Amino acid sequence: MSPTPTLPADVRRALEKIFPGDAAVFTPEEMFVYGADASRRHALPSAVVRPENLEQVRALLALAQDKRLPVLPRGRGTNTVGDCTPVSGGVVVSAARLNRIKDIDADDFVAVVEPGVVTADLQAEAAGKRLFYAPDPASVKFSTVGGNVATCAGGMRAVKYGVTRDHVLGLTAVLPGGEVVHCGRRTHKNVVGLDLVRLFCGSEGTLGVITELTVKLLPLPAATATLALAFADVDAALSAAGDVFRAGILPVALEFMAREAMAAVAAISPVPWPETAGAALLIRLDGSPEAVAADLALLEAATKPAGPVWSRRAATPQDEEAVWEPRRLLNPASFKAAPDKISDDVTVPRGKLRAAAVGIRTVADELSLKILLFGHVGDGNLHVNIMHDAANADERARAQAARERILSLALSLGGTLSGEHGVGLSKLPFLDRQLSPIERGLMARIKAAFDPYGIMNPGKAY
Amino acid sequence: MSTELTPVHCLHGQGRRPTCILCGRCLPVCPLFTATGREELSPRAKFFLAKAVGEGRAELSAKAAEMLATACLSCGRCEDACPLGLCGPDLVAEIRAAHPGFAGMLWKLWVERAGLAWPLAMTLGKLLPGNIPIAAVSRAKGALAALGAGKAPAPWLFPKTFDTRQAGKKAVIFAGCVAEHANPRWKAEAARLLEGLGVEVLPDPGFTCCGCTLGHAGAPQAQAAMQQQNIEAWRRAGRPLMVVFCATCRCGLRAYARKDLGLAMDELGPWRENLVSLAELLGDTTFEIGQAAPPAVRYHRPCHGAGGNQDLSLLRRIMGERLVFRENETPCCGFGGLTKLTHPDLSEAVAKNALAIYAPKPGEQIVTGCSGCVTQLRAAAPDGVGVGHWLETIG
Repeated sequence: MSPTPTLPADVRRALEKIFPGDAAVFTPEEMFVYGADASRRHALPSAVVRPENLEQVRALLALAQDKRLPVLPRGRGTNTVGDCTPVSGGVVVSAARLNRIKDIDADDFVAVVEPGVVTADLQAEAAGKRLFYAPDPASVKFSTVGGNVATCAGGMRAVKYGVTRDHVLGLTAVLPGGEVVHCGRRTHKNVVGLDLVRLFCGSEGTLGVITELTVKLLPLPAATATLALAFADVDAALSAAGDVFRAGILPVALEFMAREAMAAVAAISPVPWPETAGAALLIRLDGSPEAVAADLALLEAATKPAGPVWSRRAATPQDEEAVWEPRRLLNPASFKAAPDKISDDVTVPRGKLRAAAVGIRTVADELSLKILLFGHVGDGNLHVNIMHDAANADERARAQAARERILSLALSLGGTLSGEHGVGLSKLPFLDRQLSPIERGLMARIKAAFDPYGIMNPGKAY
Repeated sequence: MSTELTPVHCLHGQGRRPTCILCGRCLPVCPLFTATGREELSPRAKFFLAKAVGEGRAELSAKAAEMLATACLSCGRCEDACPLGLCGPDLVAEIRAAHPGFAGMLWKLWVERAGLAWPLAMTLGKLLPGNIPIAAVSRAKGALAALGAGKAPAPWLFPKTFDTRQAGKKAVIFAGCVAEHANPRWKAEAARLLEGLGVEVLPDPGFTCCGCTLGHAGAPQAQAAMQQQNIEAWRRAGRPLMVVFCATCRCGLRAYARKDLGLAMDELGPWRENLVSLAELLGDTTFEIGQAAPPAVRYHRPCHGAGGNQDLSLLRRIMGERLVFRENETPCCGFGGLTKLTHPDLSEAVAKNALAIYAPKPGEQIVTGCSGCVTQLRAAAPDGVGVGHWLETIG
């Protein structure tokens, strides 16, 4: 077993006292998985703890600050950038046992949850009361609300409803040293003081340990419908995507797939679009049944000029399921398209999407690589999967070069290195391309105000 | 120190297992993780640790071996959730098969704490050296009998008219270990219903365990021997209908057609077609509802659901509004595989979680169609809640 960062005996005893029985884990075998996340980086922690209440987290953060012990909050370790990898050792704080939905209030339109609640479980429970928790990251069925907040997760519905941060009204967190802060309120509006809630959203576990969240709920939309379209090429599809907004329609989702991504899905499952199609759009609407029906007609008219080569409207849950299935299969399909992939989530201003797609195509051609391009184009958010075989040194080098060029391309178009995944470890080397030393300095000083000894998820994010 | 993991090469080695991508989809479906919050027990953790052990980056310590080889319910839910189709139980079975001490350890456990798993131990024990001490078995048997008596539901469904579309056909009953050794009434009840349907029940041609558990246990050769014995028995009986009322047995038997076990090409079709669940055969048989009918009955869907879905449609039809089944509330009972033997504590935690989800009130019942689930849920259910195979509700 790779060496475990040593934990002084007194610290271990103190942890065992705060976390009795199986709530604390110290053997390398048991801690092994806690050293990794979906980035597939790995480093062993010094200890893993599973708190069940606020008091345990307070005691832990008092001890950790006293002993200068790194602390890494962990939901389900589904992030792809290394946020949960304990590169400096330390204590992993699993939220697996902080998983209660405490309140769903149909009058206040809020839910109060612990961070370890799986987001889809919150959505289902809210839907039972005809309420709607809008954030919908691709990992919704297996990631947690706490993890979503810490990474400010996005998802398909962000184009209409915004990202996770737009739905967090308040939170309770424990700061290094053991102080408890209650940020925000149960209200949908609040302008008193600096917005500390937003500071925690997307902070990647670097400020404190979140123990409770108050999130905004909406009335559950009564109906949805989808228009699926295929086009001869990427440019026509992206031009149609622009036409949707110009026609005054704000869809709930506007998903795009380019030829290589469509081919990857077609390789594992039958697909509805014609083989000649070079790009596809999936456009979903929601609202009252009457409004959705009217908008669907508008949507069809608005996307006609770009010349779709195939279209299908889906207005029942079964029909919608059928047109969305290929999109859901894209992730599993991508793992079968090549032995390895580098996955980025660059985002550009909506008006620069066509230029970004052309630039990415050029990179793929010049470096002779297969790049799967798809994404939430309503947000200008492109998922770029650079497929390669890492066992081939030349191919690996080309894939790395492609990544660098695509990140630079996004920045040159006024975009960002990451729209959804965050920085973690994997985008840290590129951060200076987007943030100036002044901004990074400011961020460091803000972190120091929360975490003077730098024990919260050190070496990550900014 | 941070170590960048070796890249994935799932397409290189033909026949090799793809490498887990650590996406986390298996966590919410894993009953062990759900019940305990211990991520180290999840399929993701097992695949990750097993890979590191295989590559020499982690030592196969006693602790690692124990975690990898003993803590899995073999429910197979992870396989359905995994984008790469990785199956936790397969990994565990391979590790067990490769681990020389595992069979001996199991044997010791059977002797020490067979408990509710003793019907399995009775059948499987014949394949391993040594003998189960009589005292251990009678102790376990006594415990099970005492426990079962109070919680088995009294019959409240009585056949009114039989669906006779299968009349005249010949059938053998594949009862499974639990019915053979612990609940002979199930087999008798099944025979009585088949008689009502006009199906001719042939004597037991010498079936043994379906082999499911042995496969999970990492004893592929012993499993194959049992499978062949069952095929031979079926042939001897003249390839009749094989009637099953345990979801796990049905799942195990169906898998024969996918393996090379000596079934001839022209036998594969009849094997699949003649393997029928009792619920399916009952067809449109109608039942009268008796005085002892409970206000509500929860249907527990077995993880090895190949035989469970027919059960659900039958029960919906004959139990009506009383039957409660929610697609989003289908916990595992926790009996699964060998965990009952190797980690009784984990097995109990999973059962407790299932009952917390069902939250049955006194007077209500839980029915299912898998012997293991009945055994497990019956042991864990609170007093006043009847738990049984649905056959037990029929009088």
